[in-house]
Amino acid sequence: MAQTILKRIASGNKAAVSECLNTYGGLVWSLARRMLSNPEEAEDAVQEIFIDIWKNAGRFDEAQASETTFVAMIARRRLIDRLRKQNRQPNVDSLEDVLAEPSENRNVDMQTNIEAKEAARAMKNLRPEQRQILHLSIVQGFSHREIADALKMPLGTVKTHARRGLMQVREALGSGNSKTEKEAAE
Amino acid sequence: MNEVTKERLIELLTDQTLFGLDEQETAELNQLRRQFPEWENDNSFELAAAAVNVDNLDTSEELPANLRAKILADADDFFGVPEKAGNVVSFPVKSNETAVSSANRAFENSAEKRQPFWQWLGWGIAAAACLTLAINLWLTRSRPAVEEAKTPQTVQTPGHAEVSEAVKTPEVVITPEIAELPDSSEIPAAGELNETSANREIARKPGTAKTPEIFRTPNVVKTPEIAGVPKVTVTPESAKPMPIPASAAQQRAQLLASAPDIIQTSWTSKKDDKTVLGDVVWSSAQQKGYVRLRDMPALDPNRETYQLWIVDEAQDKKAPVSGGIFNVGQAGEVIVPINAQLKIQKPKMFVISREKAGGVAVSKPNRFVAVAKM
Repeated sequence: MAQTILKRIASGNKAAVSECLNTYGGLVWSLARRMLSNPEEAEDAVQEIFIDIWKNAGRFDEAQASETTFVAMIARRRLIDRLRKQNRQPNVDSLEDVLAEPSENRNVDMQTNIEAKEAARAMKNLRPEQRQILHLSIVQGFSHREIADALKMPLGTVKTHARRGLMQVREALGSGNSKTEKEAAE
Repeated sequence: MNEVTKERLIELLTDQTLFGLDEQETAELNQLRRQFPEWENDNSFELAAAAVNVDNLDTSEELPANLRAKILADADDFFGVPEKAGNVVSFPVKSNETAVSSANRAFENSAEKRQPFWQWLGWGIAAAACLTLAINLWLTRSRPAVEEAKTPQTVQTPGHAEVSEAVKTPEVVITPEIAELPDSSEIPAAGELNETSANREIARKPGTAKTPEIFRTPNVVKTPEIAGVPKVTVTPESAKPMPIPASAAQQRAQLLASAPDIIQTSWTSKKDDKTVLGDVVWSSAQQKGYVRLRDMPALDPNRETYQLWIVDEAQDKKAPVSGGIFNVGQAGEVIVPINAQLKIQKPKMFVISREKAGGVAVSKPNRFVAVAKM
């Protein structure tokens, strides 16, 4: 069985870098452009993300997640860091309220990412407030305080909805009943 | 682990994933993880969030070439050896973690000291791209009057949007009809979108009730050719070699490459509407932008049109500025230039609505089919 791109990078196979860029360049770039409005900052972030990917390639466990999800996780960490440094304010007004319906799946190239589909299905099964808060947090990168202000909701309530929502998504992806957690619960 | 401790650990893990932790919470999480090492490397919450993030993502845009070159230069620093064809860096036999850790150390030690050839190559490629862009722009704009007279690739739509791509390909059908002023019943009630002051002033200009200026193209001769038939009359002069005008796709790429203030965001479908794919790019400095759409439902141009709206943070939030009208003739990707009716200082949102043929001066939320938020 062929080694994954990340495994080859982890083993020092530099030829896998180009393949990594071909496969995940669009994903990382799209994530950066969606979360960071400044294109120069997005470019800097993408450079940092790929270095992070190379550094963390050895931690990838294909039994735990797909490469796509793992790469997206690394990217999100870096982007969230940058977003928080920007101290961005949420933009929620009456017009956006009208348009604030959770977006449909516009996935183009990630059709085969089963985890993403499972996550989308889990999101649809959440309570509306949980779904909205997770969307603002995960997709838009808003802080809990920003979400609380925007939705005029107590901070603790925002956190509770977010926690429960994320746990449901995690369980839908098969991690909620992991051996680790079962053991921990005992 | 008791239930209370477990719940606290999960709380901290979710908060870390979604919102980040402060120093005290981080210390608490670290302590709990040391106490329960089976959770030490758990990243299932982060993976769940990443899966949500990936699902809602349009990844059709490729990594820019100049950025790719920079990353490859970073790889040279990281792995320590410039890449050659089929080159595989051989590391001592270690675990994967150890191999990468060695590379990390080498990278961190050398990154700031060396200016490798490959890094300069990346900048060289970027400079060459800029030079090519400049030459292209110079060539394409050197004889605009002649080009417009001979090759109607650039056509003003009734909404004032230039639809270069539309004329070159049959994917976009230009709507030649002059807009009619919406009935008074269509003027939105409080809470709906208001007219911009400019739109209102133009639309209610005396004597133009049926044909508001906003949708007129006074400088365009309405001939069938200009209305959408890409017919080019070859004359002895036009037979001479001429610079090929850039397509809308090329102009969009040029804008992306040249505008430092470029912003880009993806379209989001409104609930119950068909999925909308694509994005919008805009430069406030150049007052230029492009809408890119894929597989938008075609409309009957005699009855309906799509209309673009821009919500400018510097203006009344409920009075979006018209960005032109357009139609889509068939499936595939179309790129439509934006032509805002007013100067846009800080766009906050772009909206596409579905209107009657010719467009309207005021839209209503229930006509929105897609939104792209900054």
